[in-house]
This record gives sequence, C-alpha cells and structure tokens, in this order.
Amino acid sequence: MKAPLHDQLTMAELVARWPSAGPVLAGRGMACVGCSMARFETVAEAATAYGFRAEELLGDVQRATQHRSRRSSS
Amino acid sequence: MVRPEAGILAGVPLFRGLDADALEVVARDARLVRAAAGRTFFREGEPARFFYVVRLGQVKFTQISAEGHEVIHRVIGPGEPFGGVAALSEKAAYPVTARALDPSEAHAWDGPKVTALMHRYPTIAINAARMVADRLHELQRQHHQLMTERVERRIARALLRLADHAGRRVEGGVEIDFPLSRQDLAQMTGTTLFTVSRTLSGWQEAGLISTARRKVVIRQPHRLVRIAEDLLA
Repeated sequence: MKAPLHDQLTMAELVARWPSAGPVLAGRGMACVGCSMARFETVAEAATAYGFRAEELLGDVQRATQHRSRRSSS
Repeated sequence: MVRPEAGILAGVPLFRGLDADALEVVARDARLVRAAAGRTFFREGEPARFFYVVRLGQVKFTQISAEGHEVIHRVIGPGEPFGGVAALSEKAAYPVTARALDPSEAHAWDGPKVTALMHRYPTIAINAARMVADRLHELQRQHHQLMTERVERRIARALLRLADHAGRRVEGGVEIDFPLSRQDLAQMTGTTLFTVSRTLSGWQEAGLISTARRKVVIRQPHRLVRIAEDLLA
C-alpha cells in the first residue's frame, strides 16, 4: 500500500508544487519556507514538529489552492 | 505640608534601618506630588529628577519595547517606591513611564535632597549600594545567559548551513555528508573548541544531533532550527 501524501512529500516539494502553501505555512507560524531543512523534512514530520495535524495542513493548502485558481479564472 | 506616616517610609528599601527620628527628617524633606488618573509622574527617557514613594492610588509602569509595543511592567500602590534611579544617579533618565491609574499622590525627593540625606544618614547610602549591587548581579546573570544563547544560535546556524549544502537524508535524520571536527566548527563560528564541545555534547544528550565517525547527523531538525532562528514555535 502506498504511503500517505504527507509521508511522501517534503515541505520543499509541497511549496514548490503548490505555491499557495507558502502563505498557509506562514499563517500557522511555520518557518518552513526558505528553511534549509525543508527539503529533508516530510509534511508529516514538519507538522508534528509544530504541533499540527498533517491532514489539516494539507486540507488548508488544498483549499487555498482551489480558492486561488477560482479567483484567477474569474 | 502633609507628613508621610513614618511607617510607610520604614518599609521602603532605601530607608531600611533608619530610626523614627531619622525617618521624621526624611519625611520632612519630601514634597507632595499629585497626578490625576491617566496623567504621568514622568515619562520614559526624561531626566530622572525625583525619587518617589506612593502615598495614595496606583501607579502603572510602561516601557516601549524593541518591537515598538508598549509593555506594562508592573503596578504599585501606597508605600512602594519608584523613580529610584534619581536617587542613585546624577545623570540618568527614567527607563519607564509612570502613569497614575486612579487619582494618585506621591512623596518626592529630588536627587540633591537624597544625596544630602545620604551624607546625614550613611545607612541610606549603604542601602543604595546594596540595591545597585543586587541589580548588577542579576543583570550579569541575564547577560551571561544571553551570550550563551547567541553562541548556541551561531553554532546551530552553521550546522544548518552545512546541511543545506552537503546534507543527505539518512535513517534517523539528516547527515552532513563530510567529516566535520569540533575544531572546524569552532573556527567557522568564531568560538572556542571548549564552547563547541560543550554545546554539541549538550545537544547530543538532548537528542538533537548525533556525532559518529566525525559525521554530524541532525536528528531533530526542527529543534535545531528553533535554536538557530530563535523561534517561538
């Protein structure tokens, strides 16, 4: 069985593929954007370190991405 | 002229140990200063002219922080002293703003009056010296702690920079993929071998890093980042 997304994806990959993640992370007080450890830490590991649930974090990123694409297509 | 109850003055650290006659002389030299609710006795940065003891009401002390916020330090009431820097120094400025929360009154002595009282009652001068010594001791302790934190931050930042450049994911963490001696780190961070050794040993014991065969593995990246970037989270 494939590992869940938050275990596969590093924080750096998350921000690179979903640019909306940047403001979401900053809003939660996470220093991941530009952090030297971002390319090594998975979303799960970083979320745990900051005391958040990875699923919630990814959910926020998904919503922020959808909101952004809705705005730009209107 | 209102005479402060000698009892109030006996409780003020600067006047500790004075007998009733001496306290009466000290009391006689005071002037009474009033401040309506919301008005200030003095503002941060103003030349410190008077030493005060609250007679009535409540006084709040605030200071503008490095980030530009007004920080409330404390609130005091009757019998408590403030503006002590005026009693201890000739050319100091008040480090805080003193604002009356309700209609307040305070007894005040200007610097020259306090100096004259010190000449007359050396106990006052001895009390002042002890208060300054205690304060200095506390500041030295805080300064030492701050300097230690600064050095740790430099070492943490150096490790993270190295990991950014030459890091690889391994079992248990992120390895800096070349041999790194404590001496190397000491030179990179402008500290001594002793300081680096002490710091790394502490981090190793706390599980942040491990050092085996001269390769540093960052085992808890976030904790190291928290030190390096002085994060709150």
